[in-house]
Amino acid sequence: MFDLRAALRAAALLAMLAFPAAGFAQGAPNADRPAAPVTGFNPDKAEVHEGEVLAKAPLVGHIIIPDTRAASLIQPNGRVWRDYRRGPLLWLTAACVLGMVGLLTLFYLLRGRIMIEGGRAASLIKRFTSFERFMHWLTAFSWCLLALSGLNVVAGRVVLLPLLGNDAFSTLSVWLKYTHNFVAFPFMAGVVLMFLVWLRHNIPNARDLAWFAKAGGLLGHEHPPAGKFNGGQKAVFWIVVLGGAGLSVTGLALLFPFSVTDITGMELMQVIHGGIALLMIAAMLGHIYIGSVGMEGAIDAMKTGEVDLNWAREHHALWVDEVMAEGTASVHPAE
Amino acid sequence: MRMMLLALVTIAASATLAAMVLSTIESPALTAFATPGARVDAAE
Amino acid sequence: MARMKFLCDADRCIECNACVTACKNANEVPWGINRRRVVTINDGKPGERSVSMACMHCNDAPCAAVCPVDCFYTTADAVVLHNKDLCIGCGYCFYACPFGAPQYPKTTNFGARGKMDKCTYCSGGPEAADGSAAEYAKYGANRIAEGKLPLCAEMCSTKSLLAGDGEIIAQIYRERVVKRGYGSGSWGWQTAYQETINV
Repeated sequence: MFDLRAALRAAALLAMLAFPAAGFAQGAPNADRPAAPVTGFNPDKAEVHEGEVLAKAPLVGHIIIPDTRAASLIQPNGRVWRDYRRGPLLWLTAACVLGMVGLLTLFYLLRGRIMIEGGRAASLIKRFTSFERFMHWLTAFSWCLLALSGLNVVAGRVVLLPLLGNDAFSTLSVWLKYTHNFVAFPFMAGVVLMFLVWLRHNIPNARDLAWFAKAGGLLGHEHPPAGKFNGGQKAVFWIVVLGGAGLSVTGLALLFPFSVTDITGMELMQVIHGGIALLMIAAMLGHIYIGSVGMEGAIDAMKTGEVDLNWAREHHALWVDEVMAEGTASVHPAE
Repeated sequence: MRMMLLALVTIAASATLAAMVLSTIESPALTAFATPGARVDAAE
Repeated sequence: MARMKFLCDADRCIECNACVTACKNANEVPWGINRRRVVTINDGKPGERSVSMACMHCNDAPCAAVCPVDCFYTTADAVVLHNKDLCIGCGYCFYACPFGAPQYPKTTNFGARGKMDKCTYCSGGPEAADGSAAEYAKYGANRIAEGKLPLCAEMCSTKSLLAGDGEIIAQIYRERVVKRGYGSGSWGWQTAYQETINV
């Protein structure tokens, strides 16, 4: 009887011998015959060398687990980001925070508090509505919480961790992380409100240039004329609106990882977010200073909405004239 | 003064609301250097 | 003490994913998380190479450097581990790691990430009791405390993934390259340990 299994076995054995024989006949090089081209797997070609891969990373290969994003093998930009975080970023933070605080302290020691030269008037004039004050504080308090929680991520390990120890510091940092993630939303709302309500008062004009030329009267006793918002305040407005917009865009990209960009993009978003934030911190420190300690009568604008009439005439003379002429000024004696 | 307090209350309330809304969006596991559009195919 | 390292011989790796499976099983890794993964470069073309990649336990680990709460530490075997109780899930170690080792499990709050999880070199975590249930639940197996090497390397079907004393596995790799006449190099060693294996 024809034994199929034996026949197949014999055929397989023959085949196994035939192929290498053919290959051998083909591939053996000698001086007379050039070597036949190597077919199939050539281990010398296109090996994966770490040095080359680093140059073209992130290198995406093929992966058989369901998470196809894991097919990236290496991302060397992480090292650049790490070096920035541990070096230049810390210096930038020190400059923007400590440097600015130092500058303001120096300014206060040299110039002192800017007083109302004519002394307090007997009258108050309404400057900001309740809504304007609400949206300012919505933005301001949100921003303060965001700035502090953000600074903790940058410098907390250096400044706070030695004081609190690992456990307490981690607990604090988790809460600050959630604060940062969620208070971002009222901040964004506040910036949008401010933009809509105050845009028409913050269009730059020639008067602002003249105001800046006199350094806003900071260095002397001159009072360059200004409207509702002087040049410096317009600068603060645009820093808040544009800086806030930049922080919002980068922040949302960071909050929803990989929704708009890849790993290098995420690192870039983080660097830009931090950079804008630090510059904004420096600017707002100046704003907070002048609005509170730095100038007598300034805080009233945002605290009660009504300011001393002499203060208004000294710092926003054009605005006082304008609302007086329109008949929209609301003036009443101070109690 | 009242506006400052109102602002603080609004911040707390809106932040809590944001937290509640965000927790309804299912977050994928962050496991790799994703490129935009790449999706995790793991069955749940 | 031995300086523990990983070495994946890309010329031997056959992409079987036994290392991936072994790790997930031994450490009860949450669904969707892959502490170890196998990536194939030039798939289907001449020069196809597969590399098994997980945490390399670097010298001067970038993850440890950027962590805002300083939750990383290095053991006496030079294994880079972290403390999940201190981790705040910020994601920075993920940005810094060149190899994509940190993983974050699904969480209900978008962007919150949860506690970072990564290859522990089967060394467990900072819990005081080695091999305790608490340690296993958080960090997975602690084979090093039992005197064993990581399961991924132990399970490797071709012995391409080597784990152990850096000197010993470097020597093994050197001998292989000499014997077969070629080698892609000790993948990841330049980035992780700032050295290559010279043959």
